Amino acid sequence: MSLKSKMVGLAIGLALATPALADDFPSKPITWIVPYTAGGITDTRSRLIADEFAKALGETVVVENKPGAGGTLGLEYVARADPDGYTIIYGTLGTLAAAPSLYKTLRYDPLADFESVHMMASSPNTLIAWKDTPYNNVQELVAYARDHPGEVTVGLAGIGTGTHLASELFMNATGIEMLQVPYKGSAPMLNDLIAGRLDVAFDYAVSTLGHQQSGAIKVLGVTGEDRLDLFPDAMTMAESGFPEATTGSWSGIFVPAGTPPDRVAILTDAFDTAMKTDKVQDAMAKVQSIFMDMDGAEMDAYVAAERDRWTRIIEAAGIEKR
Amino acid sequence: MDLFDNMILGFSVAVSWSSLLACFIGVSLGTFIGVLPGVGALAGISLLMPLTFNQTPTDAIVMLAGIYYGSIYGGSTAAILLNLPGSVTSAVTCFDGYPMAQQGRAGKALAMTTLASFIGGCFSIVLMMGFAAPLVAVAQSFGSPEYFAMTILGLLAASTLSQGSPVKGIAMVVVGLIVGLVGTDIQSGVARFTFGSRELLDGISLVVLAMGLFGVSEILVNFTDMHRARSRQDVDTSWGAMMPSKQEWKDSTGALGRGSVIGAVIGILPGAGAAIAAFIAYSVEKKLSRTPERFGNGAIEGLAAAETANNSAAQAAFIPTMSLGIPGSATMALLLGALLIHGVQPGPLVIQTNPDLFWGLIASFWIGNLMLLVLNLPMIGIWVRMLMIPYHILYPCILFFICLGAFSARNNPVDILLVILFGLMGYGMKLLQLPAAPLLLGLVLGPMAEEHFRRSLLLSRGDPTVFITQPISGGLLAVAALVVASTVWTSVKRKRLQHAA
Repeated sequence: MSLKSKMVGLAIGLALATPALADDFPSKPITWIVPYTAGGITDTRSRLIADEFAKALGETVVVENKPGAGGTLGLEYVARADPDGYTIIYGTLGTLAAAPSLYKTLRYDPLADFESVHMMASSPNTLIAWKDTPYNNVQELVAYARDHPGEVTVGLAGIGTGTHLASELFMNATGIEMLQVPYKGSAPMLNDLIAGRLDVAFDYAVSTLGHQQSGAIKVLGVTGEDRLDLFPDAMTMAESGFPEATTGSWSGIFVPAGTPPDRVAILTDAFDTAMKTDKVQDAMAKVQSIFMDMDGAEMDAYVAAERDRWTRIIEAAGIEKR
Repeated sequence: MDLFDNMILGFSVAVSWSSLLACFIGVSLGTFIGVLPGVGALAGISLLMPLTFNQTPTDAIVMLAGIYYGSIYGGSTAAILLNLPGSVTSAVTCFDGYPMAQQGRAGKALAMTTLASFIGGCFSIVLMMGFAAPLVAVAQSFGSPEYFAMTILGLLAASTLSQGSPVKGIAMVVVGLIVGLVGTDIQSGVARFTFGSRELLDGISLVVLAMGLFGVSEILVNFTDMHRARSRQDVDTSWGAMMPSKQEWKDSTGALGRGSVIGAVIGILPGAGAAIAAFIAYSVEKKLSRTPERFGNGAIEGLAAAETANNSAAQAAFIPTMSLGIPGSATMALLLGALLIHGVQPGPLVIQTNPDLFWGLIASFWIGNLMLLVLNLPMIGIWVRMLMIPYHILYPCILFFICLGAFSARNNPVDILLVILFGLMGYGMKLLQLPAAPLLLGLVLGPMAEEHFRRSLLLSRGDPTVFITQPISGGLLAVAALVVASTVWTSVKRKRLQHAA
């Protein structure tokens, strides 16, 4: 046999063998879709984890931003992508649990169109207040708001964002009425809070820290299950007597439904390894995000429960669909 | 001598080899990114941020900041040569820069731009060094009523931007306001004028609109009018022909000074931005000029005002970002994000906790601006030669870059369709002699005006007197009322004179 025909034979053999071999996945770069703009906290976190994920997987991972419509455009894109395991998406409370109740025309079903790979983290909210407000913790705020109905103003980083949902949940759990003031992102909201034009706001530990250290704002409480290391004196919602107000913006990795289970398993294992590296754990601790060691059926159940919970809360709050 | 000690500290950091290199890479890349239409500082920084992960925090921020102000220098090149604003900021540069290029004064326009940018940038750095704290206090006193009053002044300025018929100018401002309504309403979260398109939920991108209205329409006009296109292939690239004359310097001195101040004042307000600074500086010059009819036809002082103001504002934007930890724009938010990755907690304490970083960054601004001057002046000859490329080669290339730039903002093909649509609209507007600039400013200011008007009323519980009882907003609105009154008065007087004569 000539060398040429041997090569042809080899090529045919490989081509036939490829679909049967399970361990040749991944054989080309994985695209990690971040449904938010480049440079934000989700983007930088994705790039950091993607680095470790690529090492564990032995294949390049390319982070691509597909922002728009609160992240739902990116989810729509991935819902329609080939379910071959080469496209993965950063899913969140916003896009998977709240979006169906917030948007009129969502072109994906959060539960049916995606397969769970691995959870990432939960970022609890901080409930912050202007330094000169007369209340110093959640209970004092609730008591004050009961005596002065409708007087307290609460900032939102945008309608339908995590901070808005947290404030709805909080008002629902405590029964108090606050005047909601929506902003375009958290920067202008913090600006008004520091200047005393706004009373309280829901925020995240990352952006809260600098202003808390300088004394411009105080942290009344946190919405996570445990207190945060950075603000040891701020009580949780449960400690303050409002366990139903417990929440956190969670995130996880998903693939389009129909991805072969063996490929999902490979992704899950590699992601688990990546999340447990010191580099990723340190980076998450720095921004007070809590690692969620969860995958498979447990993760499916968690997402489904969150979806139910937020559907109820958003309906109760009477937020109009866009 | 605190300031002196601080600057010594700053330069000791910024003059290290690694910082100098970071600064050089940053400003060079920034210039390049700025020249590419539609690929602004935001896209540039986010693409290059991963490169900085292995640098020290100071080098990283020096480099990323360099990309930012470098891109604003570079953005004017395409605006002047091709009527193609690489960013919203440089749209104002188009007004007089492009007519200058058509008159064969492209070199002078680019040289003036470079020098004006340098002057504006340096003015704000001095401010940042000496008066960061009091300036931040001023910025802090700006709440929603104040922002609203400022946008009203801006909208008044917008209607003066047009040449010829003021009715057409006002009509285009209104069109801009209407385009600004597209997208999700901030107050209620309801989608407006999206016609069911989910891609329009975030509104219409300013860059896409500017590139379509100015760039694409210009290419369309030239295609349909090849005679005009062929007439400007001879370009004199000698040093003498490229430097502004004594008279041109004299004309521009006032504009350079006023542009720097206006840019700095507006730049320190988080959320106002360099684009508004450039628009306002330009209309102030036009208002003060004894020959306002020259504006829009190659008035070098108009170009000088716009360029000093946008660079001054770009540098001033670092004041609230660094000393307050509150980013005024998406680009600034990105820079703060970069600091966070490097373990530096941005916020009011950053000057105390990381003095080497803060003062090193400021020292690097001096170095970076100087580098940009040295880098850009010799480049002018090369850029100007670009005009000698035959149009049938140049235009397809530019259209390609426009589409690429439109797409790069959010990796969404819908934006390419939009840029083409706005190009056709711009072409139609040119045929009808409707000015594009007021439309753009309407889109910049409209959403801001609405947001702050509604938030003011929300926070005042529906009490409209909040706009006049606050000293700053009351003052700004009084100025606006005076401008309107004086315009009405002069036109009435003119009519009376005509009657008398």
